[in-house]
Amino acid sequence: MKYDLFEHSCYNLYTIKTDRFNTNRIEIVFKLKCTKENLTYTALLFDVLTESNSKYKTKKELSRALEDLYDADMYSSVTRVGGMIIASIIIEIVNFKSDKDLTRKAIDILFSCIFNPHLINGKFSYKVVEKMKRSMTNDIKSIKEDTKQSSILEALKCLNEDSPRCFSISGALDVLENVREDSLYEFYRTLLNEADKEIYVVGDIDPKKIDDYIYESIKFNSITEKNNYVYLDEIKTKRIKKSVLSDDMQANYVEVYSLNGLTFFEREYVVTVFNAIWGSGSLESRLYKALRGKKGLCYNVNAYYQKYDRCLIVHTAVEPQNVDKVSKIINKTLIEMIKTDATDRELLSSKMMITNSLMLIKDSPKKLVDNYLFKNMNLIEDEYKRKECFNKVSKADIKKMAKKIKLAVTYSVGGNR
Amino acid sequence: MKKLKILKTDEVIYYEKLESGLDVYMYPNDKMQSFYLTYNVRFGSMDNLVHIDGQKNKASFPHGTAHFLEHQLFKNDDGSAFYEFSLLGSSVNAYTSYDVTCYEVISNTCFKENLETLFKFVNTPFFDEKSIQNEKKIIANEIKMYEDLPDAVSNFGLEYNLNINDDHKYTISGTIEDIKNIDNKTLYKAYETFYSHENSFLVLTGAFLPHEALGILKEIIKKYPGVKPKKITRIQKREPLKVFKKKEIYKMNIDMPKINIAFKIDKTPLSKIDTFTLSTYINAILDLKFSISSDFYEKVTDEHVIDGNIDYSVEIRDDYIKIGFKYSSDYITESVNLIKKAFLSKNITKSDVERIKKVYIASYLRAFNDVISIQESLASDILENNKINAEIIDIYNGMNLKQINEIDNTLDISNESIYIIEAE
Repeated sequence: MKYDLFEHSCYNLYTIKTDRFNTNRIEIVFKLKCTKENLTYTALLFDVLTESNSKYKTKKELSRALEDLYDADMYSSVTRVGGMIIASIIIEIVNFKSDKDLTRKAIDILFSCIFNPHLINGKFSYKVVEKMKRSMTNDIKSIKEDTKQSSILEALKCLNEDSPRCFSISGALDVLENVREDSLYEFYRTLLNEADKEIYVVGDIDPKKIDDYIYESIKFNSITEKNNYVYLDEIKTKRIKKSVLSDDMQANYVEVYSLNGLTFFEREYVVTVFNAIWGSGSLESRLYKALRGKKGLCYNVNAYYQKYDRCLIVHTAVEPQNVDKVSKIINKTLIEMIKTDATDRELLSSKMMITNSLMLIKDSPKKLVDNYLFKNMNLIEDEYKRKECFNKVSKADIKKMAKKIKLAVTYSVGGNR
Repeated sequence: MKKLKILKTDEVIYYEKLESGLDVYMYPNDKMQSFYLTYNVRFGSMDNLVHIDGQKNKASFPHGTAHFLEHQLFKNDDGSAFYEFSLLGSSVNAYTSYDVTCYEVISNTCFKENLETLFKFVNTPFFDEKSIQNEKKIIANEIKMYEDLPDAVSNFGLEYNLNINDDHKYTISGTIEDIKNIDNKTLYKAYETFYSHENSFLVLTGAFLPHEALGILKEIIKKYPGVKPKKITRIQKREPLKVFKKKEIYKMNIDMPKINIAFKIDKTPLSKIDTFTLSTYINAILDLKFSISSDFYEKVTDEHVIDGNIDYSVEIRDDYIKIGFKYSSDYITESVNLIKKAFLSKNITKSDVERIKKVYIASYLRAFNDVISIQESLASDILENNKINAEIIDIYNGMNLKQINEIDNTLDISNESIYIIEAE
């Protein structure tokens, strides 16, 4: 794989030339500060931009044009990384050796959606905006059907309702209902001018030719400052306990732990190894063995390390009458992690699992782009350095770090059916 | 070892039948970093009533046995298979469907050790009563989890109402009541009936060399030759076209009604067409009539009858074709009527067919990008046809408007069942 960077005044183009895949991936990335308004506007805007453009004025026409390009797959992705929104529009196309023009045609459609949207009197189409708002409204309202996701968001809300930690990636209803086609267009102009922008291309390409072609076609004309709002503030609250009845069979039980005062090495490496042993690993994790293997109290239990949110989240679904028992067992496993050494086997297998997963990055165009992007934001080190550092984590490092893990929220919901 | 070239591509699949009767399919790719190993046993949730070695020996198993066995097989007499895989840093899992139980490992190192460990745990059953009792609690939690998920409730409810005799009627995990009847005798009997190498197949994809893999396998089967093969025939329960129940409404904590409708379609007029071709053509008809590039989708979303996705699918079953639609809408009757109207419309053009060919060819080629997608494609071919279809691109290229119209004209949607979840 050959990595290249083409620096331009208004954007950078990063290319990865590889014949590993039979597709080419082109991704335009926008980075901006995460507020409830920005998140909702970005999600809606990206839905609107991928719905139509000035040439293909309806979803049907645009979809048919993409299908004609051997089903070029164009979609948007809006994610939250701590205090930042990373929003992309992506197109992935089959790389036919016999039709080199396909990639150029795909870039044309992608850029046309971003730079030549379907406008009526200088605003987005009312019909399209309202249609996408309805669809988003349904998505937001249906979050409650995903009991795991919604219980985690509700638990995080107990800490601070205004923190990006508890923002739903689907957007916020109170913001969405006030969006109009002109305010959305204003946001679009601001995004193009002020957001930090990067382009990534992965595939069997000629990087220089791609750079030339993109440079000719792109319409970014403002230089933006690179900001980094990624790491959220530490969690500093007294312990909160909340229990809510809802019409579900099982109780969804969530614990949020703060991770304050971590060193760089702990934050980047020790917590990940700790968590592979404690809760994020296979059915061999301590939480799995204690709750599922020995007692049959649950089907699933997972601990999620939210590095940029500076917290750990544990989720499980259990019989309502077992919530207290489960809470005590989780607490006991954490105390054991603090007081006793991990076994040699646990340390070895968790490190192997983590370092093996680093190598899998090269098998996915999406993972390659994400990895490159995070490296460019100085959020991670390169794979080989990371592998070396994970292997350096010791039993003592794990115990020392585990002492810094403090329970901030216990939240249970459900069990009333 | 046989080499099978996938026509119109540079891809090659390797095949060998081992002495023990195990079929091995391999897609090696030296550009990939990882490998994905799957051990597939032809034992699914619908194999609950079978003839063994002829008509005289009939065996029945409680609903949920295949799924229970899958859970229990991970436990061996010296601990859990997860322990051994964790030492290799691999990710291991399993799933049960209506017709297969699949054990899967993904990793990028220690190919030989992973393959051996996979073989070892699938071929060394250890079912002790204490652990079975604990597993019942875990599976009960799993069943309750699904009972809280509206999508799962609607899928299970629709299948129950659509079928009269067909075993798609019952959930893969069984009910809490069903699994109460499972004990170690049930599991050993099921294992001995279904888990022979003759009744299983391997699909290996990704970073490995096929000749080396075969050498390793030949050594492994000496240690783990599998149980004695039995001739198993699933006892067919003829399924009428009539549905068990036409409509059911269920209340849950949701906002917008969820509609799940399926048509039970007579397949006898289409019996001369092979399953893959038939399924390809019906999928094309559905894509052209209901995908986001269709007139139907434009109309229902513009008119606000359906906001959001419409999932549709086709399944060619033993006695009928199931075509299903799933979506959310406040306008239940209107949306259903529009679906039926679009289904009966006859406006597919030649250029539509040319476009859909490109979509299918691209989708097939994309599968070769990753170890899991290509495994899924190969395993589905093996389960349906007992072989790899090397001519898929030719089949796509050969699609034509005449045959699409002929098949479209045959699909009779007069038998339907609808399952609606409404807000409480």
